[in-house]
Amino acid sequence: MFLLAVSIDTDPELLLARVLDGLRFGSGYGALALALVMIYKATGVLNFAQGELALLGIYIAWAFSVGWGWPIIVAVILAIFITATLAAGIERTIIRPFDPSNHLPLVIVTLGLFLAINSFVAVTWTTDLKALPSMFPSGNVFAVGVAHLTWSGLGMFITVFAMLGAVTLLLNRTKIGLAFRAVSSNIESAELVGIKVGQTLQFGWALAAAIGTLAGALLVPELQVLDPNVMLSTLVFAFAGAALGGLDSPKGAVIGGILVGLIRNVVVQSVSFIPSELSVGAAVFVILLVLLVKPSGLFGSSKVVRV
Amino acid sequence: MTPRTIVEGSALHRRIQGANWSLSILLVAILPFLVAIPLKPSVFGNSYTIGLGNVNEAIAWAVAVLGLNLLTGFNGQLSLGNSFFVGTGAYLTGALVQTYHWSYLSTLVVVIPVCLAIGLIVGVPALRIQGLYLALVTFGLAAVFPTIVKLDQLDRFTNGSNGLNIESKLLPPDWMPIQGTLDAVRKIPLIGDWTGTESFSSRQSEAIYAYFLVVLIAAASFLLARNLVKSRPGRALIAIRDNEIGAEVSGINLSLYKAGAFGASALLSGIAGTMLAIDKGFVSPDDMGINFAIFLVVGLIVGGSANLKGSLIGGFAVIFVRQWATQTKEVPLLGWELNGPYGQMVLGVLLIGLMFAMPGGIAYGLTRIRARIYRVVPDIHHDGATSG
Amino acid sequence: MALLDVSDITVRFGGIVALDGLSFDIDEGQICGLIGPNGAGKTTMFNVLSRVYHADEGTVDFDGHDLLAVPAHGIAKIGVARTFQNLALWPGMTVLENVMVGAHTHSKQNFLSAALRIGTRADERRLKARAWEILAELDLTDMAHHPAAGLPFGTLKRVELARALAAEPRLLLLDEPANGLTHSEVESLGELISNLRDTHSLTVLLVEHHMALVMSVSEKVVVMNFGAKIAEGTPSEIQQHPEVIEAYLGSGA
Repeated sequence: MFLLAVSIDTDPELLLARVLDGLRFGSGYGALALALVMIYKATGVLNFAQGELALLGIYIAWAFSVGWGWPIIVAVILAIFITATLAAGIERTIIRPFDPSNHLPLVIVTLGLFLAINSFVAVTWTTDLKALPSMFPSGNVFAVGVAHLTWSGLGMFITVFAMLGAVTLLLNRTKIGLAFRAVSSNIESAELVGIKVGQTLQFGWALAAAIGTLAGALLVPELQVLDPNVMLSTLVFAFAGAALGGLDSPKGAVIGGILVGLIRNVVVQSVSFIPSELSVGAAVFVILLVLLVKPSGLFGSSKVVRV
Repeated sequence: MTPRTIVEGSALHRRIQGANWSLSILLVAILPFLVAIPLKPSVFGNSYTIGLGNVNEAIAWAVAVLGLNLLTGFNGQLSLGNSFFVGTGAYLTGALVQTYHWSYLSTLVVVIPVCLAIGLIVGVPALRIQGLYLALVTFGLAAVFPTIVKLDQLDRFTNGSNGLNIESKLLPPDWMPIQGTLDAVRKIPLIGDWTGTESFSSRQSEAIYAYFLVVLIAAASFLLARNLVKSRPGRALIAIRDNEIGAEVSGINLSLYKAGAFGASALLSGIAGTMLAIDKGFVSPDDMGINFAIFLVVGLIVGGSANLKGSLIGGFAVIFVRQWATQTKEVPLLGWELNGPYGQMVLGVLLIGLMFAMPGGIAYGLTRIRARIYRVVPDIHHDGATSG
Repeated sequence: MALLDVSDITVRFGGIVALDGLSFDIDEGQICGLIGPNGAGKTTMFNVLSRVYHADEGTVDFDGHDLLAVPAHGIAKIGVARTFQNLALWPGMTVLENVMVGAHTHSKQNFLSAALRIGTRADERRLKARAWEILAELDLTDMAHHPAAGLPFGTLKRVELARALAAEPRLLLLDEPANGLTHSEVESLGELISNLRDTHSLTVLLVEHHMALVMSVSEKVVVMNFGAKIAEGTPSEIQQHPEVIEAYLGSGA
């Protein structure tokens, strides 16, 4: 028997520290959730390999920066371009040949990618622990007791919102964005009005991979570990964020991710009877609850099912 | 070449079936005595060892894939969380044997109802969660399992992240003529020479006993699953997969059958977990995570979805491919030296490749090859005549 | 005595009223045609009867049962079976198996008894024998062991009819059975429906665009337009009815 005494920490400094952590990690989950949403919105497919594509990007950035001694910002930008190109290639060779309206085979292909990329990273860079430097200066913006806001945390938070702004502008103000929105609302009609559906989806895959790599490059220095399993639990948190925000809403993804970060760092840590090891469990619980109660999430559009 | 047509139930068909059965039973009986002396085949210049432990593991995996097949292959509910059920079975057996000194087989009395119950509990919310959303929730389930096992509160049953080592040995009963059979096999010309002259060590005897246990459990599991899919509830599962509305207006209670599919799937998965514990005597939390769940999907697709033989093939494919690619860091043919084993990469590529080239899996491919030699057609007149 | 009594059924999708207080009844043993221009709400009415759609208002009485209180999977058990305009068969199973599933409610096998084969052998033989009889009746014996996937549309329509008959319904709902059939197939279809009604003691509700078919087999015709009933009567009465002529030909004035 375990004695379950409900108690909630109310120390204000500790609470502030947890809120700051929640916002910091949550923005990282939100960024990866944004990548997931880009693919889901366009194709209706959940890309289970999204985290591993980001993992590959992180290791490429590590190789450039730590391995070759290049500046970390240059390394991350190069990694973003390389993974985006790779994702475009993946879309062209192993995604496009499948019927886009039949989602199950496509999801199974992303599972194959998950295994293959994860293993590729392990056999290329070994499973030893590594560390990726942050793109931001070290030190605190301010510190109150145990609570402190680091420059890297603030930089990450701002970068994620800048990225959301850029994606929103791209979708609403550019030609390719218009094509993307057309394809995501109805593939057949988009095809009829002369939009090149294949190329548009390819663009979606590349963009999602770029977003995911940036998300990973922001998050991994904060997590302070880099090994081939680092994106696994991150992917679960990102999925929870995407589900909570609504799987087809970019804005919802980022906000949902931040909420999941707050749940993980504030709720799970503060309530004594939830073991902190169960933070992944809390994320899964969020997914389950959202899908049962409001499958369209906070900001998603609900789909009408026709018979 | 025109394939020969054989009528189902005819004398010739029965002879072919009889020959297949006899060969299979002979193989099952003799295999452990050959494999206990490990084989060292060489595939693509990559020589590796198959021990009887690998065969046992593959049989356990075949049952786990069978569990996934009932749910995903036959009922169309994509589960990425069946590792949760397998892990539950493995840990229940491990904890009961290690902490409470039960015998391995008797733990099934607990594993079966507990896994069935967990499956039904998971199956109920799954009724409201459609298609890919279900894959998402079950993916989360797979991610959560290792963290539950590592909880401090469960440490005395699970031994946390170190993994649970089951110290109790699996001793074969005295009446099993293990060494005697090896001596008899050695008298067979050709095959006998291959098995060497050494007597079995106690570890080899244990492995052979474990082999007979897992074969027995697997045979029972496949038989029950076969009965199920060829019956009214089995057809109802397929009907739900192929067209839900059609199934519903024909009187099929979707909730009942979908939850039932989860329960049956979890039950078989739990049994597979017990088999893995019997085979390895060790259960580790990180072996029972997301990768395990996806390997099960690889087994399902590579073997053949909605095909019972496919589950058997799939279990063996996953274990043998992984075994082959785990004992070397060198890529065959190319000669590259990698920084670690690449079995998982091969399985990932295999999964994608199969989705392209042979979505029906190896079982379907074998049926196609057989169809070039002979094909079995149902005897309409006989079948119809029984209608009376 | 009416077997099916539909009264004041209203169905709304958002702001659109798909069925607007529709009422009609069918006597036991009758073949009733339900006709109307495209979008009149015929298939919506079908989906209400087979519990696929939810009715916002109104009641449906089937042989003393409140049909709208029965879950979708329960209608087969009380004696209602249907076919679909665009088929709802199971391509992964053979024709024979499709028909056997049609008799789902006439078997008691469950997961446990099936896995352990307790009493299932005789039950399977009975289900199979019944399915063979129906296949023979609809001239489908030759393709019994063929997977439903890959058969021609006209054949599949008959397979679906066979599946519905296997449920041994009292009320059979046919949603555009002539749709996609050749001219000669349509001719024999009318005869088939009449025969089946007699041999299986059916009551039939028929939604159909093919006017010649409806007029030749129906004893009663209900005409719908814009979700409401505009006429009801024998085929000859309907053919003379001014509002029906207007609905079909448009107001010529």
